[in-house]
Amino acid sequence: MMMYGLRDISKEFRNSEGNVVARGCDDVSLEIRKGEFLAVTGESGSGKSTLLSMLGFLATPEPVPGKGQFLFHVDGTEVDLADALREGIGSASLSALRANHVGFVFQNFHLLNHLTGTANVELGLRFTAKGRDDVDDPAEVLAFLGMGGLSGKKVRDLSGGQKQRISVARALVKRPAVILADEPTGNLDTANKCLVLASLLIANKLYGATVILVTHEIEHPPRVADRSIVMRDGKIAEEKALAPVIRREKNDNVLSLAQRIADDCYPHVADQLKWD
Amino acid sequence: MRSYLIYALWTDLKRRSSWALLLSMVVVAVATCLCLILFSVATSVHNAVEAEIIQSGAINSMDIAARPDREYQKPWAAPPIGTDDPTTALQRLLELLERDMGERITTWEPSWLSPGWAYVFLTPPSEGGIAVAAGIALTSPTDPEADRIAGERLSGGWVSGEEVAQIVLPKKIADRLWPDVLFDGEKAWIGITETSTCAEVSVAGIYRRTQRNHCLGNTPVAIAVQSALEATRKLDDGDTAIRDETGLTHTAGLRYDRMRLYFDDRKSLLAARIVIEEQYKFWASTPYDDFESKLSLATATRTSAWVVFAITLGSACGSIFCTFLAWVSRRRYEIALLKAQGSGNAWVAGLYVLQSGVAGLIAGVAGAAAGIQLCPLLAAAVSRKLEMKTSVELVVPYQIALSLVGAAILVSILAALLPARIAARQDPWTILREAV
Repeated sequence: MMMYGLRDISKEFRNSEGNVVARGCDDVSLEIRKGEFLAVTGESGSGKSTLLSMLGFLATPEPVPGKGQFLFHVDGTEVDLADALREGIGSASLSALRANHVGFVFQNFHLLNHLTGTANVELGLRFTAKGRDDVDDPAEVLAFLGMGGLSGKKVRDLSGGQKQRISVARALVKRPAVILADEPTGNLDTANKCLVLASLLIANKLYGATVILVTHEIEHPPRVADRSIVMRDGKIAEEKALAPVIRREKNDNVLSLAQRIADDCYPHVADQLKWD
Repeated sequence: MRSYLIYALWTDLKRRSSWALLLSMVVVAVATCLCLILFSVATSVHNAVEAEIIQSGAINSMDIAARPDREYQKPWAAPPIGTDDPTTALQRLLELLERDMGERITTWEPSWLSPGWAYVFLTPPSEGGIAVAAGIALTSPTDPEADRIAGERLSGGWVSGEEVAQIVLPKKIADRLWPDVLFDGEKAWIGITETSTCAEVSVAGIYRRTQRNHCLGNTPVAIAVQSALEATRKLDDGDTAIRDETGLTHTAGLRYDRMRLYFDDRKSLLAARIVIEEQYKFWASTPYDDFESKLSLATATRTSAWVVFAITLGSACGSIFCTFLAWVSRRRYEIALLKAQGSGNAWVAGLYVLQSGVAGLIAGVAGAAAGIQLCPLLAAAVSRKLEMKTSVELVVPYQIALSLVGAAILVSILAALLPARIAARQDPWTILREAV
């Protein structure tokens, strides 16, 4: 079942005088299935993050697509963002989509350092629609990601890997339809890379969330993703279906899955990794 | 989410720029406190002065002071008629007189009035029915030609007899109204004339034909009359210089030893007295000078309370604005993060408006509480300073206090509106990318 259906979607950046200075995305057409683990790779400036921002409704296509399409299927309904933009959709509608259906994981965590891990995870639930009963308990999600003992600690006292797993927990707690991860392993050591990747894989396989992973690390997509696309100059240059090597076993937890990822991706250091 | 709000407030307050907000809050609190004190003390003094006026015997139980309407407690103020229509004004005045006297006054001619404002004045019938109203009007029910001639003698004498209406009161009513004035005839005359300069129906005084008056409105007129009549007493002592100055002659049988003077509030007493001094070469005074100055002080204090409040609150408003602008600038990253989590623009704006409102509430309540505590001390001090015979009974205007707190909150919120709007319009994706 299709989750996103993009056709001829562009994103232009303009200066204060209104002139186009760059094209982040250039007539991109892309379909993403529900529950798919999609890896997006490409050089810096190729348009990966721009595409991600549009998929997460943080940015909108520009110019507003004339004949293009931006379909988003969720909860059995279809939202055509392009159509809505043509009719002048309000920012509140985009916020509601983000609040209820999209979880973000950023490269540099974007956590509130003075709050505890639990409070940061609770932030993910703050703006979800009232009355939703399918959200998770923040403490349980943290425990599931192996962070149960650290949930009461202030984020500033945690390591980079722990911070990123809290970031994943924040995205996961509201059971979003899609998790958008923008280079989530970029700032991490090997062990934490594996832990974060394992967390995303669990989100994908256990919760059924569609995961879109933007990454520079070429060894990750073949291990975890169902499909990968390569972006170049704002266009999709290559598209490849993958058969992921790492699969979640029935009794897998984050740590065991991370260990198998490490064994596969980093065999020469896998037995020396320290898991915190 | 409560934890985020506490976090946001706490981290904002810990920032260096929070000192600007604390300073603003102190300014708001001081403004509220000061305004409340000034207003409270002014109101208390005003009440005490009015009590003194009543106690002084300047007014008696038959007089307007007995009325519940506060304006009536000021004996030199005209009763508020509250209408622009002279006919209605006259009608209401008559109703008041009738209520005082308990008798119906039947003789008057409202049809003589033309639209505008009206003065009321009185002349004893022993003067042949001629009233000289200080250059504003003169009337003679029996001799219009005499009016015209008298009018020409007045400075500016520009009102003709045709514009004048009159009320004829039964003498027994006039005697009760003005018990210290001796009326020789059977009737007292009240003349009413329209003028474009008077805001209220006012009794200007009691005038005599030979009196030389000056046309500058009720206040100087009344003072002139008062002063002139004071001078007539001096004539008894043989002071011919004063007689020459004022043009007054003392007529046996007419006793003007007590008068009620009704001043037009809009006129400056000082300005009037300066004119009188120029004209008559002496400084006019009234028995109510002391009261007047104290009441003026109370009124001015109340006015200045609002001015002080407005100015300080305006300054605080600017300070709050700058502080929140700085906060929004520093909190861009968090705003972007919240928006990425799905917060709407209204929520982000609301966060700042809430912070500002809470700051205003705290400052306003603190200021009002301090003001309420300090009021009794200052009221006592002012009482001593003004040498009040009646102790100043403290009036804490709780409604004003509430209004001030409300104003503090409102101004704080207004100050934060633009920064809140800026915060709400932040582009989250750009900011989050910048933060990488």
